[in-house]
Amino acid sequence: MTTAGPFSCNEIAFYITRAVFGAGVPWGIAEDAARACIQIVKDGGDPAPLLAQALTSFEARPDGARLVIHDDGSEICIAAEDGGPASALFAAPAWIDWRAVAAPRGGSAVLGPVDVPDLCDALVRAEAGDGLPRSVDVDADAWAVVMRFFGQSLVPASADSREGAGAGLVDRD
Amino acid sequence: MTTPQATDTTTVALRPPETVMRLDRMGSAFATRLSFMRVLLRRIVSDGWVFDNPIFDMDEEGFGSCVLPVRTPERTYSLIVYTHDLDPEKRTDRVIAEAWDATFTLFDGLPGAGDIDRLAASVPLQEAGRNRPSELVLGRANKSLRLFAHVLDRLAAGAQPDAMAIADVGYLMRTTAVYGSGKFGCADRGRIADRSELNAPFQAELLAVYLFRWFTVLWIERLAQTKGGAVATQLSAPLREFLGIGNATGLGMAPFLVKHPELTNAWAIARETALARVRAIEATDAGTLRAFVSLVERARRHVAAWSVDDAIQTRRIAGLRNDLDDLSAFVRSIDSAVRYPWDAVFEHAQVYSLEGQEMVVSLVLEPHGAVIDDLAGQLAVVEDNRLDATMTVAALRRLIDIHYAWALGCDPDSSDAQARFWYYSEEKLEPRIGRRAEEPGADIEMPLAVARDVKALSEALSTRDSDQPLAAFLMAAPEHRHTVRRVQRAARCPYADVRDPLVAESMRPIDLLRFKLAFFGAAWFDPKSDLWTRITMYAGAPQPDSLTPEAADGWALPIPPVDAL
Repeated sequence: MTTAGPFSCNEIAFYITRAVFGAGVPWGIAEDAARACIQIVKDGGDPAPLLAQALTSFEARPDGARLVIHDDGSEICIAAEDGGPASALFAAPAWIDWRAVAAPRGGSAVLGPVDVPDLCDALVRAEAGDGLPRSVDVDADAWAVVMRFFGQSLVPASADSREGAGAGLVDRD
Repeated sequence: MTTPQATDTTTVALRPPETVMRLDRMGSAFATRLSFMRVLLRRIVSDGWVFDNPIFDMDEEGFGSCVLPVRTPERTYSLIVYTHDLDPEKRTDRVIAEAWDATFTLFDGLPGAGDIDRLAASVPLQEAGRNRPSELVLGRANKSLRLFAHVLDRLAAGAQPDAMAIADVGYLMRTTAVYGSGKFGCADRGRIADRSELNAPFQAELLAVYLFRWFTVLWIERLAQTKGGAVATQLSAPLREFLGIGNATGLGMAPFLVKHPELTNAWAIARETALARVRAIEATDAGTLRAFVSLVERARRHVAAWSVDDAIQTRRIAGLRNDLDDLSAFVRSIDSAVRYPWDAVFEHAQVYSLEGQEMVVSLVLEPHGAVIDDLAGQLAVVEDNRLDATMTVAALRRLIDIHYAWALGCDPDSSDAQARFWYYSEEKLEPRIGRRAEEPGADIEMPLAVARDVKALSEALSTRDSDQPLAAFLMAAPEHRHTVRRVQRAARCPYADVRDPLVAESMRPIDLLRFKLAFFGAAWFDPKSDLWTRITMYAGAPQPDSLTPEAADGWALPIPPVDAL
């Protein structure tokens, strides 16, 4: 396996937030995806394969983002509306949210079928806030997939965009 | 690490966020004794850091490397600088540059030969290279074409440089980027935040700049020695102290304040708490008053030497000079029997321009280190971006009503309100700002339009069942998750938000830059447009080989040492 990096946690957060956003996911959801990935890094793992899978799965099946809950009073089950696998990108934060809702009443929240369950588990661990940042080498092939989506969050350069770049014509001292 | 609260035990209220966090006032900010550079130098002295002799490994033309180690009580840090023979045609401040006169890294420890060689290959590449957690900071700098050659020639000839040239430029070299916090593989902030010497904001980055500043002086003296031989001389002590490090700061810094609400809040609250404490001082003594009169005179000389090309800033400086003339007369009329003298000064200044008002804030803080320096321990915070999904729709709406009334009053449909958008450019991954009606990319804009997004959130919430937990709302409307998170964070951080629309046509990004740079401790703000500014860092600060407790805290408001030349 060839690797890319090493990357710091800050870089992982930077690239992954924007990669998920570039896939057409709302920014707040992308932030949680990055938190989950950082937790994977803190735990000694490589988030790239999981994230690449989640991104391509969502790209192929955007309906996986449409979630519903089934609440029987003691257990809340989060699932995709159409019964297929839910997108982990959306299911993970929803699971965090409903776990918090269920806990005070002594209940629980569980996930129905999810495309990348490990990503959801990582976000649960991230909520606890444990672990120190570390450097990580990532699977290069998976990272290339992530970077494809990252590129979709960037605006191509142009003469107009350079005008908005912050340094003018007189930028030599 | 706790954030100072707005309930600090003073008899004077903090200036409220709706006053302090407005772009025009933020864009008038000045450094204070709580600025990060000031905090660093006080710590260096109080903790007895030792700066070892720099180790040069350069050819006859001055190209090669230099290691500048500094020992703290617990650790050693080393600035490693690489100098390069740069083609003048390639010299530019822009982030898109690919080569520089000097590149550097702050290394965690003392580098071995292997580290020097490894870093010689990666550091000059800057963004294109890869670094390790042993590298805390990565940066680069270019010579001042106006000054470097002149100073070198004069020193080589055994003479001091021209006073006006020194005063006009203020630095031998300027940095065009200083990266920390995990950028390009460097150490994450979380790896070093628990170190007491690096806990305050940006201490690693500012230590790197402080050491690099020292390097620029040592380097030019070394080059002068090579060029002039026995005739060559060194820079006079006043010049060594006056010269700072220039910096060209652009849009990359602007989104930071929005993306880090707890930090923005902590910095603002620390400064406002300091101001409230000082204003609450009931009595002062004649000696402190005399010192303050001298400080005001120093401020007048500092501002008299502040000259820029930008027409707007030139007018503001002129207004500030008038304000300081008035302040000088006013403070001489105060005697030590006046009760709450610093509040009197503050209140008197409320008719001044914004630059004048904010300068007065910095001035009244300056003599009161014993009262406020402890607040430096509250500048760093642990950021918490977890979201409380158990909160009800009604509770969130109340938070919005309390903390975002200013946003609800905005008209997002006006032609001005959303005229611009922030985005990341494919070119060097650089934050830029565009015009929504004219440029592509608004569909992938960065989420900095806080007022617009909070208003949209408020409208979406109005259609929901009030008792519903946010978990349900967010599952149905995930596009609001980011804004919900922000509103909840703002409830804990009253100074987190800029109380002006950040995508309006009238918005000046440079106001954001100046606010942050003032907290860094920068001086000589020199706007080149609404989008970027030149500044000078550590101007007037003692060099490592002349750091004393008095010198470490006595370099506010630098004045060109014209008389000393």
